[in-house]
Amino acid sequence: MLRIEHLTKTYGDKKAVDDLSLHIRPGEIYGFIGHNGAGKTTTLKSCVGILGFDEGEIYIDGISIKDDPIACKKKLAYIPDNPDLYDYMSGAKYLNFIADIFGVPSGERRDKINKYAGMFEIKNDLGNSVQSYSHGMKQKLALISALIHSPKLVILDEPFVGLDPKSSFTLKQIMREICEDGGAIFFSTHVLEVAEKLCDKIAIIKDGKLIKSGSMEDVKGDSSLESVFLELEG
Amino acid sequence: MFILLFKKQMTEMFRNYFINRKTGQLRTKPQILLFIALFAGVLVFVSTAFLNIARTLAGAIVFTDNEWLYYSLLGILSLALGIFGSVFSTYSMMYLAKDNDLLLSMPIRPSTLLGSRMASAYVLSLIYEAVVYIPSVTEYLRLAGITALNITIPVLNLFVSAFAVLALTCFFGWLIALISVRLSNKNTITIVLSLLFLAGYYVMMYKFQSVLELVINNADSLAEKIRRYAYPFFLFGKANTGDIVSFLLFAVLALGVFAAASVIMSRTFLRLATANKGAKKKEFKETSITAGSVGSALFRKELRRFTGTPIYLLNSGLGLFIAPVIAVIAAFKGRELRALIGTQFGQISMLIPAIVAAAVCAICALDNISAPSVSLEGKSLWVLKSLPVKTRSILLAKIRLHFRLNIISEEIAAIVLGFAFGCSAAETALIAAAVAAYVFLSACTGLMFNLLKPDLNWTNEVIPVKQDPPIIFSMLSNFVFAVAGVPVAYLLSFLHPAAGVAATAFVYAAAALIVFRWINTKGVKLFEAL
Repeated sequence: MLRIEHLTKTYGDKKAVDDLSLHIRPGEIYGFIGHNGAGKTTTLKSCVGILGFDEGEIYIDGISIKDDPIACKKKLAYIPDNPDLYDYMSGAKYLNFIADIFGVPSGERRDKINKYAGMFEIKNDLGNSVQSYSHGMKQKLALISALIHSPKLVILDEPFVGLDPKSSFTLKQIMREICEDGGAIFFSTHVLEVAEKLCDKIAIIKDGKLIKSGSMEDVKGDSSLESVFLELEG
Repeated sequence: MFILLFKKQMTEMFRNYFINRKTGQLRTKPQILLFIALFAGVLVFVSTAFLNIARTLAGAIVFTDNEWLYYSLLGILSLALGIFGSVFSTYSMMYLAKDNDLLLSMPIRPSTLLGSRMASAYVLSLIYEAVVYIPSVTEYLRLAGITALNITIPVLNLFVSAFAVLALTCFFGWLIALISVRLSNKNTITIVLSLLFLAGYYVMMYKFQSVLELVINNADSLAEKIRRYAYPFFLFGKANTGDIVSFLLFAVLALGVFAAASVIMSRTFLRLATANKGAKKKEFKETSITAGSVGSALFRKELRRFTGTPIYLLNSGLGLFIAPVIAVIAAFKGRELRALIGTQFGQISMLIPAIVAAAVCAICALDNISAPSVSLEGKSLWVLKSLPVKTRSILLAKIRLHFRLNIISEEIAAIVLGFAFGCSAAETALIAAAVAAYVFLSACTGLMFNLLKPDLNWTNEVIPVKQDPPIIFSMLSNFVFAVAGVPVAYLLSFLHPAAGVAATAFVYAAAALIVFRWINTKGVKLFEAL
C-alpha cells in the first residue's frame, strides 16, 4: 500500500531523512517511533505529498507520489500533529468541503458524518465555528474529515494527542476496522504502550536513519518496546 | 519584560522590512533601505494630500487673531485619521492576537502584556497622526517663520497628542471587543458598524471642500465654539503656536485621558482577551450537507474566508461597497455631472471616457482580495496541500473570488458612470471592457505578489491583510494601472476620444494574460514549494 524507497530529504546542509526504506502492506498498522526531530514528520509529510524530497521514491498503491500526486492523494488521508483547520468554517462546512474535494456523494457523506461524529461524540458541535473548538475537538474533526472518503491508506502524525480516553479507544477500533477492510495505517507516536498494543509492525528512526523495523515480535523480542527503544536510541 | 514584549510586537509589525520570510534570514542593507524608502514614499504620498488642505487653511487663518484655529482644525483631522486608521488594528492586536493565550500562560502580568500591545498601537497612532501633523507644521512654519517655541512645542506635542489618539483608539477597540463578546453574529455586526464608520468618514471627505470653505468664511464663530465646547482642541492649537501654558495643560489632559483608558482596559483585558470566541451554539442540520464540485468547493472556501473575517473584508473589499454607492449617486446626479463637464471640463471633454474608466478602476484598486489570499492560509496550508486538487485549481479559486466579487459592482459603476458623464453606448462598452480587463489584472497581480512574498507565520490577520509587502505592492500597482489610462488616452486623443480606453483595455488584458500565465507556471511551483 505504501512503499518508501531510499527516501532522502535535506534542509540546507542537514539530512532530515537519510536513505529510508519501508514497505507497508494492506491490512497493516505500522507504527513509526523516534525522538523529537528524528525525521518522523518529514517522512510522513513526504508520503502525503506536502513536502518534496531530494532522492528516492514513494509509491501509494503502486503509484509514484512524484509522478501523480493527485491520484495518490485520492487514496490516502493525512492528519498532522497539530490540526490547524479552517477557523472561519463550521465543523459541518469543513467536512462538506473535504467531501466535495474527494467527490463523496451526498448520501454517503451524510452517513459517514453521522457515523463518525456520533462515535467521537462531536455531532452537536458540528454547527459551531471551528474557532470555538478545543484541541481535542479539532483533532476529532480532522479524523472525521480523514475518514469521510474511505481512504485506503491513513497517515497520522501523533493521532492520540489531545483525544480523551474514550475517543482514543474509538480511534484504535476504527484503525483496526480500516485494516480489516484491506486498508493500511502508518502513524507516528511517542506513546510506546499504544504502539506496542496496536501495531502489527514498527519502525524506529534516529537522526533521519531507520535503525530498526519489522514485525512487533521481531523488533522487541521478549523485551518491552520501551526498553528496546531506549537501548537503540542510546 | 515590557521591553521584551514591545520588541516582539515591533518585530511582528515590521519584520518584513528586515527579515526575508522565505529564507528566514536578515535582509541586506540595500534591501532594508529599499523597503523603508517604499514605506516612507507611501506616507509622503498620502501627506501631500493633507499639505494641500493645510495650505488652504493656513492662507486664510494663520495671520488672524485665531491662528491657533489652524492647528485645532488639523488636530481634529489627524485625530480622525489616527482613529480611522488604527482602531481595527488596535482591536485585533489587543484582543485577537493568536499568542494571547500563550503569553498569558507565562509569568507575565496581563497589564504588562496589555502595555506592550498599547505601546505598539501608540507607534501606529503616531504614524497615522504624523501623516497630517507634519505637513500642517511645515506649512505653518513656512508662513509664520521659525521660533524656538513654535518648533519645539509642536514636535513635543506630536508625541503627547498621540497618547490622546491612542486613548480614543483603545477606547473604541475596547468597545468593539465588549460588543463582540456579547454578540452571536459578531462578524456581521462588526462589518456593519465599520461600514457605517467608513460611510461617515467618506461623507465627511466628500463634503470636505464645502466644509473647508464654510470654516474659512466663519472662522471667528467657529473659533469661539471650539474654545467653548471643544476646549482640548483649543489648547492643542494654541500650544502649537508656541504657548507653553496651553501645551502643559493639553499634556496633562492627554496623558490623563490615556491613563483613564489604560485603567479601564487593564481591568477588562483578561476577560475580553480570553472570552469564548465561539459565542452562541448553533445546531447542526444534516440538510446543510450537500455535494458540490471541486471548483465550487474551493471557491466557497475562499468566499467564507473573505466574508468570515471582517478585517479581510473591510481592508481588501472596500471598493465593493463604494462602487454601488458611486453608481447610485451618478445615476441621480447625472444631469448635474453633465452640466459640470460642460462648464468645468470643456477642454478635456475628449478624455471623459478615459477618466471614467480610471475612476472606476481606482475604486476597484481598493480591493486587494487576492493579495493576502495565500498568506491567509497560514498554518492551515497543510489542508490544501494534502488534498487531491491541482495547485492550479487552488490558485484559480483565489483569482475567481477577486474577479467575481468585483466584476458585478465595478461593471454596474462603469456603465452608470459612463452614461451619467454623457459617454456614448460604444464608449461606455469600451469603459466596461477596460474595467473588466482591469479587474482580472488586479486579481492576477495581487496573487502574483503574494506568491512571491508569502507570509504563513503570522500571529494576527492584520499582518497579511494590512502590513505585508504584497498588499502594499498590490495597492500601488493597482493605482498606477488605474490612472495610467488617462495619459494614454491623452496621447491617442487625436484618433478618437475612446481610442485611449480601447488601448488601455487591450494593455490591461494583455498584461493580465501574461501574469495569469506566470501564475499557472512559476506561481504553481512557488505555491507547491511552500
